[in-house]
Amino acid sequence: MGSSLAYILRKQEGTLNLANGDIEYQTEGTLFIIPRISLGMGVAPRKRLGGYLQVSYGQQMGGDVGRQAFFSAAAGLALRMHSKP
Amino acid sequence: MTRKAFIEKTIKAGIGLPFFSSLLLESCNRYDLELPDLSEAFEGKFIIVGAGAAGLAAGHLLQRHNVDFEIIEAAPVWGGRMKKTTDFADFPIDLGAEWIHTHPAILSDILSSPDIDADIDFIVYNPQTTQTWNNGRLRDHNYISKLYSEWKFKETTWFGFFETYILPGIEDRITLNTPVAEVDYSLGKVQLKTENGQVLEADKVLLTVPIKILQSAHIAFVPPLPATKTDAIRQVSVGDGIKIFVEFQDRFYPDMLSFGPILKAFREEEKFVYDAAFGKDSSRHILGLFAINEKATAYTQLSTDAAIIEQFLAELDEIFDGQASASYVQHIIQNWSAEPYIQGAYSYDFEDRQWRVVEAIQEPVADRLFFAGEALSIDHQATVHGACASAFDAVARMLKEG
Repeated sequence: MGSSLAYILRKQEGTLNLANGDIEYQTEGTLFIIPRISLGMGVAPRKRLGGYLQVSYGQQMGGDVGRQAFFSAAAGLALRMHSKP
Repeated sequence: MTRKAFIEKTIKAGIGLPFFSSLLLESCNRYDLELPDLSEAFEGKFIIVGAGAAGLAAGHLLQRHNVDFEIIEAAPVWGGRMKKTTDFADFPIDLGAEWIHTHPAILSDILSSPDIDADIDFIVYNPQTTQTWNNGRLRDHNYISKLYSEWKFKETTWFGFFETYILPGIEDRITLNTPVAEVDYSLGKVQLKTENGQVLEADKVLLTVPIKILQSAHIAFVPPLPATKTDAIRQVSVGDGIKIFVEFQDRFYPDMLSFGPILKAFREEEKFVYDAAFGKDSSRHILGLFAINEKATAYTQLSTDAAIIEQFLAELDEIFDGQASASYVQHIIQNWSAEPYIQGAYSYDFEDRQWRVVEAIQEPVADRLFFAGEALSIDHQATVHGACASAFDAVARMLKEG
């Protein structure tokens, strides 16, 4: 279990140039807090290097946009910094 | 492929939420609408029947090429299924076509005027709060915001877009209140007999009236249209259509509310309630209802507007614990089924394969009668830009076959 902070930029509106079809978007950032539950599996480093896979489900809360489900998946490397005595 | 057929295929393919994914996919792909190259001169006279999106787009194109044409419209107003009200809220409201169902650069393509000096603001329509009402339960589906996005005008409407950028060039060619009763193409030219007793003559006629009008035999053809065409016209399904806008003192509803299980509700896309002020510079609380087919019939079959709003508020009260009636301020109803020269919503389904039906309807008759409209765009059926694309194709055909 854990939580994250996320700052998400979203295109809100735009201005279209009717002559050439070019668009200028205006974006707005919103700060969210995301409490989440994660499930992962990994390979412990034998000498220095290992790896893991992790999936998370959480609730994205913040701004004025209501709660939204948040899913994520991660793959990573695990490093052993110190050798066991 | 119809939008409905595409949605069904996405379900079978397991791609995901069908309605939203289809819109998302459609939205992501920019659709380039190219005006046909009309280098050939045409000396004859054209008449366009119908001043909706297709008729106006055809006029816009013909006017640029100095072709002699006129547009006749049965109703007392131009616009067809584009209509707006400016005195209901503090922003103009689309009572008909509302969303831009493809990349907004399509607006530039429709005008195709590189010298125009104008910008237009639009909203990225990406509802953040979505709920469903199913079996008496209100459920949140806010994750939909990650799957669905379209566009809407910010300060104008589809009607306003045509009014500002297309109408000025062709306004003097439009005659309103001129319903066509008979199209006689038995001779070298086409004669249009109107309900007012006028007889108009043209070398070629482009019919852009709604499919429902062609189905209702409102217009007599002399000689009758070929059986292949009348069969194809009959195979297009067009149901009832209604939009209701209600102003409330307080906001108690999500950005979007659909009815039934989420997959079914959005696959059929036949009824939803939405925050009509989403993304607008507005301090008012305006809720919109969009309903077509049987979902619309539930309202349109009622005899009066008072009965329609009573039923709609009762429905909202059940969903939102009586907040609708308590917070009600005013409403406006646009019953498209009751419009005598529209008679419904838009093309929704086809009995045979869509391309086969559309091609049969598009096929010119005697090189003098041509057809265009929202139903006749294979890739973008049931949209304003699809109607424009269909009109541009028809004009290209008319001039080519001249």
